[in-house]
Amino acid sequence: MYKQESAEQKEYLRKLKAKKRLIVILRLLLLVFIIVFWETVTRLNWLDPFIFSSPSRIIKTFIRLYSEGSLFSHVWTTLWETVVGFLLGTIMGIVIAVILWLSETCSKVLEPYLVVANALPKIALGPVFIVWMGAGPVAIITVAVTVSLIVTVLEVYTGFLETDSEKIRLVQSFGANRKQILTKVVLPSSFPVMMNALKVNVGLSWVGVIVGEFLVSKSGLGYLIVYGGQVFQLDLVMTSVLILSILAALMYFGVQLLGKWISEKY
Amino acid sequence: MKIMRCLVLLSLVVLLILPGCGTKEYKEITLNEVTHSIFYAPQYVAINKGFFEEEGLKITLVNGAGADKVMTAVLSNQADIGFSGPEACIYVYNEGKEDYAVVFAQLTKRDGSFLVAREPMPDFKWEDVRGKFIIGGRKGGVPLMTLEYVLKQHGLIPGKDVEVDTSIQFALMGGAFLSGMGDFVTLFEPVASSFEKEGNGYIVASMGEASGEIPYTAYYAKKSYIEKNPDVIQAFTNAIYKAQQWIEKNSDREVAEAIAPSFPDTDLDLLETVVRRYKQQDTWNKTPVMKEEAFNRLQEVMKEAGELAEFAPFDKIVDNSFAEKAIEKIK
Amino acid sequence: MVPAVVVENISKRYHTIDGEVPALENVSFEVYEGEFIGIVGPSGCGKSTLLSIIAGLIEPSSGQVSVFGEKVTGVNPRIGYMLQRDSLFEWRTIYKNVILGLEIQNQVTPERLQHVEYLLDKYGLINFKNHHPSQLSGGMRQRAALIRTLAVNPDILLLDEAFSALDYQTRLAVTDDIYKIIKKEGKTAIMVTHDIAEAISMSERLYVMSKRPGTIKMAVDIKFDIENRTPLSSREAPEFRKYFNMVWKELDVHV
Repeated sequence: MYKQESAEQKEYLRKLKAKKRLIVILRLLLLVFIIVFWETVTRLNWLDPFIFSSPSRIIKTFIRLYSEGSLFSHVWTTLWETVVGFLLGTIMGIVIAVILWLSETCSKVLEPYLVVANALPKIALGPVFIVWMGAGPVAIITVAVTVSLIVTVLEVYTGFLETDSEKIRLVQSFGANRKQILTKVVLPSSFPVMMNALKVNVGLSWVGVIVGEFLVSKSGLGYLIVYGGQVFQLDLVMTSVLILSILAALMYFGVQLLGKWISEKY
Repeated sequence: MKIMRCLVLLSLVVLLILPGCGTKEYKEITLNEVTHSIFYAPQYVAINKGFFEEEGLKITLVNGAGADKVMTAVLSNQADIGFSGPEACIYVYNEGKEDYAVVFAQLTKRDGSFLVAREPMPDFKWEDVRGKFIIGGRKGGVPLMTLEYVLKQHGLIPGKDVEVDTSIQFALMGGAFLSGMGDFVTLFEPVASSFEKEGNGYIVASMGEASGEIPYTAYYAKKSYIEKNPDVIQAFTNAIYKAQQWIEKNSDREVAEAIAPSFPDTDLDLLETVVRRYKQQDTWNKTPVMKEEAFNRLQEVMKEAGELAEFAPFDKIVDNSFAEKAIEKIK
Repeated sequence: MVPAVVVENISKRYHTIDGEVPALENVSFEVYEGEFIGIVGPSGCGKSTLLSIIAGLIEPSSGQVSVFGEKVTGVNPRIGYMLQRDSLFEWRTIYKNVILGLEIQNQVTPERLQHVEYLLDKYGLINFKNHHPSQLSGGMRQRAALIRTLAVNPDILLLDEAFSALDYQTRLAVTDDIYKIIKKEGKTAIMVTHDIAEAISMSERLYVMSKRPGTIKMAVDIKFDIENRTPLSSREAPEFRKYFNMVWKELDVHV
């Protein structure tokens, strides 16, 4: 390796940087274009602003909510329900996957049930949960958890099964017991799969919570969507959807960063 | 009657299997109803007794499950005619939609829900809910607004003198009450009566009686649709008026039998009980005409609930011309 | 003197729905402490199965294996098993990889760790302690795998085609290396390979197995007129050719 970078190397790096900058600029331009297009199209009435809302109307609604002081409480309600549902769904999912891996009998017995449970639209059970647990955040979080739980279990368990059998044979040759195989080989090598499950669960938890709020809520972003629809204030609906998307994206990136941090530490 | 039923069944089959062919001069209409309830008996009479067919209409009935969903279907052209609370039309007009929805026929003139308690309360007074918990329905919907209106009229402030839950979706209110939530719940029929039958609750008051005349459910379509299809609207209104008259003239039992095909899971006695109750309360409009004072009372209720900033003009939102023509034509 | 390993009439039959598959048939031999034994045979003759049985990972259908006089009933810490692939954990540093066996056997003591440091230093990996496997060459990884096996101080080493994954040149260098390490540490070794030349260059005694169901066809004592022979020097010895032909003829090789 040359300590002194050659002119060629410098040029290569410069081109790389320029390309990266170009992509960032294009992304911003695209965003600006979408906003301008949307606003124009609804002002000219090519698209009905009543139904589609527009960036200016959304900003107005946002400001209104903020000045009423209700913005924070709605956002917070939905946010904490989602985070709790997400954590529960992910942790329980991984624990169940571990149990399935530890007991082959267990997993063989439960296999068809899991497949059916996975295919079942859990959202359809929403009303059942509400009658069972009463209307409130508990039912909403339960909907969020069930939506992400089975998927997590299956994905993580499959990831476990795909562990390199040579590595397992290796630790067995040292006399490792099942628990050691789990902690020393299966879990570390399945880390990418588990991170993936986490990322998927971000989206699923949001869906579950919003659906739960559709059924039962008096506050939250899902509630605003329902209420806005009820009184035909579609700006409210759009604003909530937008805030939702931003929060979901932030959560996703947060999880991604967490994954990077963990893999760097260990 | 049996022949009529066969005809209706046959035409529905034809409608499903041979779209657009074999149906002589029938115009196919998609009607989106806010929910499926005995509360709307005249509509099912019109369907089952062939009044729509007499007027040359084939009705496809869709359950919208919510006033906003019905209106959405109408605005997005998924349904020709919507059937729900007219407040949806007021909201849409006020929010500035240009091609807004116009009401042309009213069906019910009172709230159709009942206050259900956990124990029978034969001497129920509204004062009895002081300090208690009522599952009332969602904010922005008329059932809740009517409840709050009635409570305020009896000197009870929602949130202060009585707890009213507004978090539960319409379809799940009964289920929540069953799971042990609340002391009271407002329910439509046939749910209220079936709760009573199962011993899960007892009807103690009628919201319709308590609130006075409010146009509760009506038929509407987009302004542009009405302008383009006045004959369809007229035919529809005629059929409704025929049904309204038929109910006036016939016994509760006969009405129950007429609507039975639309409620296959409800037994005839229950149907009859509910029909009788609604008739006694003068729930149904005798003609499709909507009175201005009733319309304004609805807006009063909405304003009280904080959902209406300014009144919408009656003559823009309601068009009684079709109803009046129906009354003239059909004697 | 108790032999290090005694293999007595080992047979193994695999059971599947389609029927029974005999893998090994009456295999018997002895290995004395400090010896380097080679086993060659055609593909599928059961060589690896035999090693797994000696290691205690598989149970034989009949017969028994004893290690220093004790019957083998499961994995025995006195036996180290080196597999074909180094299977180093990419998520661990080299250091953490080589102490893996110690972790599993709960032997992470200061003496053991000192021994590991000694091995790493002696065999040229001390500067790569905190690197990850992906940063090492094939030969270095193999050395690391060997150190991992040696870290738990086994008396007997089983090498199951341990060098097949390397390219030819690396393989020559690595086998030479590893032979020297094993001899220096005074370990007993049983190596399975399909490379006849490799087997002859490293072993003091060579067993040739038949095709499936595997059994021992021939035992060859390998003596070179060299002091302190190494694999590379053995290959150049005049007797090498003789042994090679002897073994080659005996192998049931089907093309």
